[in-house]
Amino acid sequence: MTADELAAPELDVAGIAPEPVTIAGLTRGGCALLLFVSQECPTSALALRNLGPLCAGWQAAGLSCTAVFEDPLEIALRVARVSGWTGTVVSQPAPYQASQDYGLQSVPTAFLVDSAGRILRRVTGWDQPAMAELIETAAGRGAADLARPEARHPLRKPGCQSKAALDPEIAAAMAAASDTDELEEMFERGWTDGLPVIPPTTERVEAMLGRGFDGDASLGEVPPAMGEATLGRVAVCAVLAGCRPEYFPVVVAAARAALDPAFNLHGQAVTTQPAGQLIVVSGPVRHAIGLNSGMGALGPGNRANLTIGRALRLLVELTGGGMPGALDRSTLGHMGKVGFCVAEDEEVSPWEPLHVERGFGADQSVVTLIGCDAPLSISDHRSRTPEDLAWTLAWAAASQWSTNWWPLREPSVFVICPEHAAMFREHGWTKQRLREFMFESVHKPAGELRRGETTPQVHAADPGDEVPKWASPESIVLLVAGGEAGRYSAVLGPCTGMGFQIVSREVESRWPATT
Amino acid sequence: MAGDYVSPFDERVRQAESLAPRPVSLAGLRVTLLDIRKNRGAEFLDRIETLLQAAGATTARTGKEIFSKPAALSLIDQTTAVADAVVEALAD
Amino acid sequence: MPAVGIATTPFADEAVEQARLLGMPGCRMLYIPHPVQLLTEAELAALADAVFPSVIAALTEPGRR
Repeated sequence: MTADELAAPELDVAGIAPEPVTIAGLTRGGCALLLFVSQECPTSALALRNLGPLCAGWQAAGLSCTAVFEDPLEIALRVARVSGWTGTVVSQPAPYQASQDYGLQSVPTAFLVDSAGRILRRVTGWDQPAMAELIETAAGRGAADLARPEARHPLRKPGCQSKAALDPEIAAAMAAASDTDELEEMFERGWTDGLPVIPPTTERVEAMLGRGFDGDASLGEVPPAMGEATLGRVAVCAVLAGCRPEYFPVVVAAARAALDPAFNLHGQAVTTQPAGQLIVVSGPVRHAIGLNSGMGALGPGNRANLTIGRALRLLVELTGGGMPGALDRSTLGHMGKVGFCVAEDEEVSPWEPLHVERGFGADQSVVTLIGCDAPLSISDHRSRTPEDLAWTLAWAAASQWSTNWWPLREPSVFVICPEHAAMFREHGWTKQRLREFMFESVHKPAGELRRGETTPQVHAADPGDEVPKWASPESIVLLVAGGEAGRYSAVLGPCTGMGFQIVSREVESRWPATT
Repeated sequence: MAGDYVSPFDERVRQAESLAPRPVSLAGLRVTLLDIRKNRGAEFLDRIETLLQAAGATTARTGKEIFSKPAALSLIDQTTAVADAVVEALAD
Repeated sequence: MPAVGIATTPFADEAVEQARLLGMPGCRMLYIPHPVQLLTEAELAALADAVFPSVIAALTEPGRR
């Protein structure tokens, strides 16, 4: 080989560092490791996982480590993060000039480049012995102690075809929809939340819209990608979720509520908080479509509850681009983000239902949206007085958001089970009385709250000042649902700092609604 | 039936805007520091502000209404009216 | 107008995707190490000092493509 054939071509790539990527820059400290990879290639993932943890040490010793992806930059960064690659990440756009310049047939391919810009070694696929030799060569070029990749199974694994090496016709044929498994097709298109979906054929979408809903009517843009929520797309999400057409009016009402600027869906969709969107359904529609407000109300088992909640989430994740792990940064998330829809048990409740409290008529069907986190269970099988029970329920929420984050301005949503609700009914407690008793039960001196995450108010108060858990009794939202037996209520914690309001919308059987 | 699917995605692609032209130096220019209102951002911008002033820029401070909502269009309009450049921070 | 945003490194992929979705794929972002919430005043100032030359460059260097 001549010296020219060994010269490492400049890379037409982009990363997140502001400076352009040059071979001279990469070899400034000695040598450079270039690892060409691709998201769809399992062997690339293996190489990234095996070499990733070693990068930090290598870079410190003068061997720069750059993963060159044949994928968009945001995909490259996510794959690198998930694989544990601690080196630099760069992305090449189609038609993958860098891969072509380096003569790639397959990924992963690793190159060792020296400070004169010459390619010293090339390793194709995952090949631990060859990678160890490559590192040996780098070490021989003056880099201090370089850790060798561990010799563990599998020592070798073939890679996948580089996108640059793909014949465009073959690539097009490979990308074409497959007849054979439409459920896998949905996964391949990224039209899911991780679970199988119902393929949204034109017939299914039209059936979902029925005669009452205009597919071209728009409910507004869904953040954060600002995809337009035409009723057609809302119907697609309802089909994907597994809704029956009779659920669609509830889905539309939930979407309208979620897109109200006062709800701040945008903040909830991208936050690191565990934010999910709870849909509370009130009024006659609950029975009309078979929503569950009884046993297992907060869990699985009922198609209407699960699919309505999921339809809204798919609208946010797909049309809105708020997909967990991508634009949705929720650190842990929670299962309510798969979908969270509950019907209140208005018949068992001793009180006026949520929608009546919020100004609707009892016979109106209404959805109410609340941003919240996962349920915290509250067992109370022993209290014999409403005071004891109310105290127990209230103190369960004391650590919501954070142990010492008092007072909480945002809502705590209590779901009171029928047996607990019966206690309050027997003693004639109104909702307001219960709410105020709970509010007054939970307070501590500021001095006891000054540890870890706490509020400016706690810091500003005198140590002896009593600080309540909630800023006002109105932060306490009360619903009734659950099975007739078992004394387990629950409380859902808030999203904070969202400036969001609880939003309600009447369920309409047509949209746009006729005047 | 196979392949005849309706997409949940809005397929419109926004026209990519090009980068605004850059001044050769910040000396004598007005730079607004825009705080997105996350905790510690103000302190961070305090330091950047000091450094910008030392580099000869005139500085102003502004911020979003709340960290969890995008900046209001009125804020963007106001800022572009009074500044030659913007530094926005700190997203964590 | 010339602008630069500063975020911590774990948010790079989100910034890249969101910029593209908003039609501003070339928007200039700088990344500092994460986390910042628990840093001392001096540590936070040091991060600002370290990124400052890149702030100047982001606001004054012409686009490359």
